[in-house]
Amino acid sequence: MRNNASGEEYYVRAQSVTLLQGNDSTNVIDRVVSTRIVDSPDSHGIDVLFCDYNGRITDHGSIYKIQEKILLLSSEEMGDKTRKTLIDGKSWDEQCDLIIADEAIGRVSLVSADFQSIITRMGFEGTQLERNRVMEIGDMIAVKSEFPGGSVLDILLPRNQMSDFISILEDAEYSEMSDDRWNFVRLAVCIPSLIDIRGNLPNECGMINRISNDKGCYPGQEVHARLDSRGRTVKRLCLIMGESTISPGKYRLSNGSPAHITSCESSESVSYGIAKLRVDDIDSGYVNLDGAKWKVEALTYL
Amino acid sequence: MGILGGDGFSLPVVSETEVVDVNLNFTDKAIRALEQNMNGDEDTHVLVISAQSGGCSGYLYDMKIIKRPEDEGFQQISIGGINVFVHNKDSSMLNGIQIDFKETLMGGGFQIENPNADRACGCGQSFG
Repeated sequence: MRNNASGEEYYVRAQSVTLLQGNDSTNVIDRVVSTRIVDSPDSHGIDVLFCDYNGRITDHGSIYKIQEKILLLSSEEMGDKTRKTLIDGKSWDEQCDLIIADEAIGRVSLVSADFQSIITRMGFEGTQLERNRVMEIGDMIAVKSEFPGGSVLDILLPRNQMSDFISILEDAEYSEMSDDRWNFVRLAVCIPSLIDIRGNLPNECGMINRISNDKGCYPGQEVHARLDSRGRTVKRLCLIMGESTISPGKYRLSNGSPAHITSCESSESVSYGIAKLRVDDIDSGYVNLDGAKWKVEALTYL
Repeated sequence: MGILGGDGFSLPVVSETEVVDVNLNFTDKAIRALEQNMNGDEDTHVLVISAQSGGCSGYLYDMKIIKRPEDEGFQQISIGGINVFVHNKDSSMLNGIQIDFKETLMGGGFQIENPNADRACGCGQSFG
């Protein structure tokens, strides 16, 4: 975990939550996402991208296969549109119901230097956390997600149990993050928000691992295949770190190159942001942006 | 019971799309090809034309000759004495399509032109 992003903290995240149930649910969702999910094991999370026919990202999410059902967590902004894409694409003879579970299931993200103690307190005794492995206890599931800047433990639980769970967290001396604090922490950990990636190609976002070149056709597949064989990545999403503050927007670097800051948040004397920069500028390790020096690191997601 | 419960949620199910009265246009060649494929089963079998997600452009066409389905969500159109079924959920996407039949060794078969599509894949099977 990066400096200033550590501590025992939690944040209740706004999220679109969709439950897919029926024998054909996996196929219905697999045809739409860029990631291969048909072979994924039960009780395992997969990060997926939804793209348009130009290969550009329209939404992102995580899929959890649990008890022969699929739980899809996707962006709150695009939730309805993503659900419509799924239901429009269901064939008349496929068994797949899409159920809106926004009001039923909540997501709490925890940041800590030591997740093991809280999961033991929650009753996951003797269980070792592994990336994207879904652990169930009672009505809750816990999943550890890894990002370029650190890890987050996500707890999914019925909303009517949220206050009891928050009591457990507060007994364990976790403190609730404000929206600004969460934005800072997510940038330090490099958790992408839809605002950072929407409209970009997966390779520009360091998300090449979230596309499958052998699953067959899906929206955007032709473009992704061409990028894989003949493409050159000109711009990349990167983390910027500095001591100044900067607002999201379009800028010019001191060398004249374009820079697009999609998110930025400061805490004490450190600022983190996500920006889209030319690869040549990222390779130099530092950029001069809005009169200040910023360290840059290209982002790559598993 | 776990977070997803045993019998599912009592929560809103995502509803399906707009339903319109479907109009289909078959060329003479397509009707002849269809008659050959029905092979005298017109009384018991129907042609179902449908769409589902997939392909590079977002949706794929599907055509199947099957026994008359019991699902009440279908619209029935008679084409030259053959029953063609389109499900209500696909009606807005497939309304107005023109179905032709091309007799070529490569890429032959039924071809669909869709006035509702903004784009189509090079293979002609995917649209969006």
